[in-house]
Amino acid sequence: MSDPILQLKDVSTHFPVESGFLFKKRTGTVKAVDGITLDLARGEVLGLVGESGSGKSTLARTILQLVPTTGGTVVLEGRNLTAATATELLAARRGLQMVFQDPFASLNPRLTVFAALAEPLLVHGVVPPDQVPARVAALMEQVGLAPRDQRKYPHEFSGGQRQRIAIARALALEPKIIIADEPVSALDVSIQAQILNLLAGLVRRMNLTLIFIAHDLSVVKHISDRIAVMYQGKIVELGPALDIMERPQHPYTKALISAIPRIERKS
Amino acid sequence: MPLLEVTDLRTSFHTRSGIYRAVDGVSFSLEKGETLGIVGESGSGKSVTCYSLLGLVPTPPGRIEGGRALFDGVDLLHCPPAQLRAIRGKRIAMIFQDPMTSLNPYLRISEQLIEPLLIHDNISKADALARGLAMLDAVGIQDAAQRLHSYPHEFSGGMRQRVMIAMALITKPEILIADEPTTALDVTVQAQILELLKKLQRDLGMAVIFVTHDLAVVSGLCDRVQVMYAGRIVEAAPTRTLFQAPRHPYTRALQRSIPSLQPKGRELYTIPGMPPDLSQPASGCAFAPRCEQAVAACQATDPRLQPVSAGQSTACLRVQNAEI
Repeated sequence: MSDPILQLKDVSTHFPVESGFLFKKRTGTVKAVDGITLDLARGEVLGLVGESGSGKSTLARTILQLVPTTGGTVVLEGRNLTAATATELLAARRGLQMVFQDPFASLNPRLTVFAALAEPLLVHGVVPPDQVPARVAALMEQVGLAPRDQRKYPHEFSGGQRQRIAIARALALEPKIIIADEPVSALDVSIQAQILNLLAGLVRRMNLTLIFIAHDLSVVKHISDRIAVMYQGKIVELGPALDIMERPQHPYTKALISAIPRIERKS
Repeated sequence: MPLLEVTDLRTSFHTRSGIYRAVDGVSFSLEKGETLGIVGESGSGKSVTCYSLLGLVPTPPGRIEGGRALFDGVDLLHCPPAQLRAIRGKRIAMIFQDPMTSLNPYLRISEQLIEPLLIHDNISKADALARGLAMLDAVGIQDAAQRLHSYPHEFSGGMRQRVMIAMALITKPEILIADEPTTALDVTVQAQILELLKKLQRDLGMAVIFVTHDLAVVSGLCDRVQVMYAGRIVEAAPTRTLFQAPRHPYTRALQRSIPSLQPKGRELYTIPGMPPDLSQPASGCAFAPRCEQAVAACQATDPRLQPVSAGQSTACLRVQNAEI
């Protein structure tokens, strides 16, 4: 890969298991992310699949440096995030945004859409304050929301619309990489299709790099260029999406794919 | 005679912001040993339909406005509470979506598991525990004898759902209502639970009503499927027919929006607009505002569920008139 935007080298995130109340004793280690090496190309969509507890979300949080890494390096456009100072991290996170699973929990119920979208713009000084309203309106249009709804609160929107707000908030800082952690799992089938189309369109138009985490392989297959399969903190298989789905090599991937309920249309 | 026959079930919720017609004239029947799938998106009324049958709709704000649900000569909707209690949990059992919250965290599995037996059957505690143990074994919990006295938090999500299934089936019910039983589970665990349900159904010869939003789950499990939209059944058909030859525009649209049925990378079909507000009385077909095939008549006339081919019924005016 000529110009990887993100490079993970032997990254590990371990959590101590402690017992006792006052005098804690370390009794073990959970290797949530265990020696992952991965390069991500600009404009690529990487699907990350695995069961709960396989370390998908911890890997996402490790990339964002929301949890301390135990070992290895996370390099974003040549900058090593694992060795970065707090100020450097703040700047780096501008290029690295996250969309979470549950749009009912990830938006502050007391902030209007305008306030929620203006906040990151002001914190990072993306645009001068007098241009914030115009930018908020532009963001809303980008994700298919009507700018006239900007004074509404999250509870006035449906699940799909809320996920659009969350995506707009991630886009506000003009990130290079978006990490979407199960962004459609909480949504109905017809709404899921809308959000998938939106994400795929944004990636194409804005040359975004997307890490798409999900447990639903058929959704991941649809949107991803490459798929990484995680099991017990390690990537057990990595390859082009269609290869993984049609010719899985690792026994775990095979098990995962055979477990997907299929719609049989032929008699 | 069908095991369960539901006719014109209407359930609404009377709230400060209006009357929500959650279930608006639903009729269906269930044969002995049959698996019936009810699919629909959130708010389509699929869960409220099931809750209504078992008297589990919180009243108020909920109210059963009308209809009949005949089970072995008893109208479940209008029988005395004592009569319903004797049926619920004994002859008709239910499992719920979230195994994390549907078990009591303070009670050992053993106590919760045998509770239905102690209530419904004249049985000693020792005998009940023996049956509980056998049931845990049957749902595939290893070392059942040791696990019997564990607390729910000592089990994983899939194992808790197995315990829930064991609890529901311990009284050997004639009907099992499963409301999204695998939605909260991993895909590999989901496959195990679905296999388990199929096996137990064969062994016990019970009928199953399987409620889900996942069309793929329905396709592998159910004999018949009914699709709900805005509190009504819009299409009912044998499973294979529903996937091979869906007739109602909503069923078709749903299938076009599933990634696994579409070529990779192609833009997915999306249904324009939003589901209707159930507190606003609508005239005509509830799906008409979002339907690509709708004509003027669709907005004016209320479509009824009518047979369109062998075993297949559709509530679409244009299909009934053989226009599409």
